[in-house]
Order: sequence, then C-alpha cells, then structure tokens
Amino acid sequence: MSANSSGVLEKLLRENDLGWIIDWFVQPGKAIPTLLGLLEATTKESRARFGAGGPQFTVEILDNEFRQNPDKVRAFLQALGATRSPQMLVMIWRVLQGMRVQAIDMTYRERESFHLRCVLNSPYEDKPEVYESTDIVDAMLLRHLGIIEMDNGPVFEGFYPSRF
Amino acid sequence: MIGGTDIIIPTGGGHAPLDICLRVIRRYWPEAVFEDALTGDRVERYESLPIGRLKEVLVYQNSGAAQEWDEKGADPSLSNTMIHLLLAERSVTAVVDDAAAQAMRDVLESIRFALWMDIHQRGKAA
Repeated sequence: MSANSSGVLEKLLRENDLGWIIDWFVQPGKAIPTLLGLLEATTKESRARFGAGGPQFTVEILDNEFRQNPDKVRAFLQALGATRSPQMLVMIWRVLQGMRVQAIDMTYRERESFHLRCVLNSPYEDKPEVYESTDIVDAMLLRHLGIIEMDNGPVFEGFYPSRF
Repeated sequence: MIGGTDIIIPTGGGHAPLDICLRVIRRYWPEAVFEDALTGDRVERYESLPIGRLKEVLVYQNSGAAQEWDEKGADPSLSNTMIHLLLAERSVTAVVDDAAAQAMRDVLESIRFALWMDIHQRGKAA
C-alpha cells in the first residue's frame, strides 16, 4: 500500500460523495488501509477465478475507469463501502462489465443463517459464474441491481449507484 | 430515421439512465452495435463503451444493420433497426422509426419500466 494509493482512494471516495465511509469508520484512520486491503483481496479472488488476465482492483485502475465510466465506479465504490466480501466485489464488477444476472437465491433464518447465491452468465457464451455470501450485509447490494421486465418475466440487469 | 418518433422518458439524472437503456436494448438485440453519435466511434461490445462520455448513442440491431445504414442512410427498408438515444440532465429521449410496431413497443416499455424502477430504487440526483 503506497501513500499515493491511499490519497487516490480517498479522493475517489470524496469526489463521489462517499467521504462518510471514511468519516464514519470506527477508527477513521483505518478506513483507507482497510478498504485497500479489501481491494487487494478482491484482486486475489479475481485471479483465482480468471487467472492473470482477470480484472484487477487497484485504485489506479479504478481512477482510470472513473474517467470513462464514473457511474460504474461510483456504484462499485458504494459497494466497496458496504460489503466485506471480495467475492461479492468481483461479482459486482462482472455485472458492471456487462455480465447478465442469471439467477439469485437468498435464504434467511432469523438469528440463524443468511445465504446469498448469484449466478452470472455472459451474453456471448454459456459460461456461468457462481458467487456466494453468508454475510447479511450483502443483502444491501441487491438494491443496486437494475430491474426490468421482458415478456412479463423478471430480469435483473446492471448494477447502478444510489443517488444520495 | 424516417419521420422518427421521439419518446421522452424522465430519469433520476446522471449517466446511469443511458446505461440502463443500452443494457435493455442489448437484451432485445443481443448483437447490437453501438455508435457515439457525436464522434462516429462504433463498438460491437457493450463493455467497450465509455458511457460516462456519451450524450447521444445510435444503437443498431446488429453489424449488418449498421452497415446498411452506412450505405443507404434513412431507407424505409431499415425501419426500426436503429434506436437513437439522447441523454439530457433529467431525461432520455429515444428516437425510433415506428414506435407502434410490437417489437419496438416491447423495447420501449422495458426501457420505461427500468427507468421508472431506477428512480424508485435509487432516488433522484440533487
């Protein structure tokens, strides 16, 4: 983790009205190192799934992408501040890249268990990817999914930022 | 576009509504080709689009339609093979040849529904 990465991430968060993620952290000084650690773990998760050619989650890449697709990066940063799961962050990035949400299963038992399972698929080839979480915090991510209807059937499409 | 119809749909602001439109259209036209109407830059894959820089997009049904539009221009034989999207601060305008045709009605209804849901889910920009 470099001082430059820390600065870029803080700038990105504040430019996207997400400075509160830093300020509301239990110890604000630990917010950026924690988020950078989560990004690093997300790159590891991505490499484990897709090899060296998989998406990487450095702040430099996010900063560069922000110039092309600010709303997509804003949506990802909102998720970064919400989830604790590298697997969920890879899943979100894949949706932002254009993957389709083929299936979602969620089970919840009060004070016992939570399980979220998302299956993504490519619009170009049948190659499903499965992402799972047992952290109830990740239920929050579902509200970012676009909702449409096709032929009277339900479709989740895209991942979008909240407008605070 | 031959005497096209403008469909103006309110949005919550930002570029996300344009992204939503593009993704909805891609659902109906899986081989859609996208063109930045202001620069003429054309891409065959959604993920290659710099959506944050786009204000006007031409979406062709497929590469064949895009090529025919290049060759013939607004020819009646190409009716409803291209959708022109224009992003404004609080709306998206979809320009189509025949908004009454069932296939196009389906696309426009899905776009309207998706943008309506977007406002309900994520609110409006300040």
